[in-house]
Amino acid sequence: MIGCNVLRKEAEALLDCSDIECRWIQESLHNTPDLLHTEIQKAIDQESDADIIFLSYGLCGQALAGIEARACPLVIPRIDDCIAMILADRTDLGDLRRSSYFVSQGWLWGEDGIGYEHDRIKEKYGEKRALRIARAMFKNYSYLLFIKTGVETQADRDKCQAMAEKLGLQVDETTGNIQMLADMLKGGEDQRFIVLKPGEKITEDMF
Amino acid sequence: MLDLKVLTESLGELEEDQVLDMLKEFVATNPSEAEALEAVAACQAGMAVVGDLFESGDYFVGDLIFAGELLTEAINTLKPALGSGGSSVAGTILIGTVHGDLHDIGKNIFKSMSEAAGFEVVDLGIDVEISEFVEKAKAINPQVIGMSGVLTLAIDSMKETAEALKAAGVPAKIIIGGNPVTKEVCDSVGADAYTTNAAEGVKICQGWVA
Repeated sequence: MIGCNVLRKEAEALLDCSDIECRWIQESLHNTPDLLHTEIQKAIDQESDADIIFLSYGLCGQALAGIEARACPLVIPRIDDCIAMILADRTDLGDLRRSSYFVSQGWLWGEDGIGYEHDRIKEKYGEKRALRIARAMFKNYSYLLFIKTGVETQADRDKCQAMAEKLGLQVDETTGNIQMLADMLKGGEDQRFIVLKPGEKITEDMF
Repeated sequence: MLDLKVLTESLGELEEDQVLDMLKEFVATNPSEAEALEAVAACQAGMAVVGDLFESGDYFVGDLIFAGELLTEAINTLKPALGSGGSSVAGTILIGTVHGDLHDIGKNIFKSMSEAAGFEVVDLGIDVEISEFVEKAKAINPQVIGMSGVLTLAIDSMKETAEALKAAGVPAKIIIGGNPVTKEVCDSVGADAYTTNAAEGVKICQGWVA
């Protein structure tokens, strides 16, 4: 399985006694789909001995479009992004996307959870300007929606709470899971998954 | 006397205090409207410097957001000296984040840069319904309509909006922007151009109104 670090902790709990080999890719590549695409294809190209490769990704801002199965089949969930995986049980996901910034433990990036860019700005211009920029970035959200997947710690909750206070947002909570990932690893043969034969490429219209 | 070169440099370097102090002092001298317009042009040139520094990898998205805020503050400071005549407008652009999506950082950066390039920009905000785009486009007759979005679902919204605009006979060029847009998406949406880069988007619009 080739997956994003965002769900690494959840996936490792799931795969505890499994013989599936995992390769994890840096989560911050979410912000640069071209680079994410390159890294995923590179990882696939390097796995010439695998019988099958599972991708723990969605379309992810078109990053996965054009990814090619090489020596073995590729399986990927038919979803837009990881939020659609962990909140697969929520029928109101479209509405949630209009109000909430999603925070699972893997999304608390950087020192304050606000992101690596926030840390860079803080370092360069100081906290005051960094917060002004961060508030501009988050101004359309009403909530930080903390998604409990069972692997989070009290420190994660505290970080989310502190992040919300800095940004002037409210914290709401929901539960999520990676059942879809578990189902994919059992074979991934139903409509929720895309299976590519060697030489086939992922296209946007498959999602 | 306002040093326009220093003003451009200070804005390019995102030196907020320096830019605003210079402009406040300048406005206090009761400048003519022509002089105030020179100051606006110097600020716009500073914004172009910011765009170049982003292109070269020296600035990142946070710097662009801040530059947009700083430009707005700078123009607001100059407003008392600007009168109502104003400069000539390069063209009108109608923009918005399509329905279902609330991501607007790229849209706002594009707006700042377009305004800095002399466009009048009418911003419909976020989660904009199809009918809002159509009605506003009919009312103001823009040369360009910019649709923005980050979520994958935004692509469908862009497509629906573009179809409705065409069905309503709106003749404006359509440009789409945001992480998920590609050549293929542009074709399927029926847009005239696409970009993931605000500065490039402004250049495309300039090409259309030239």
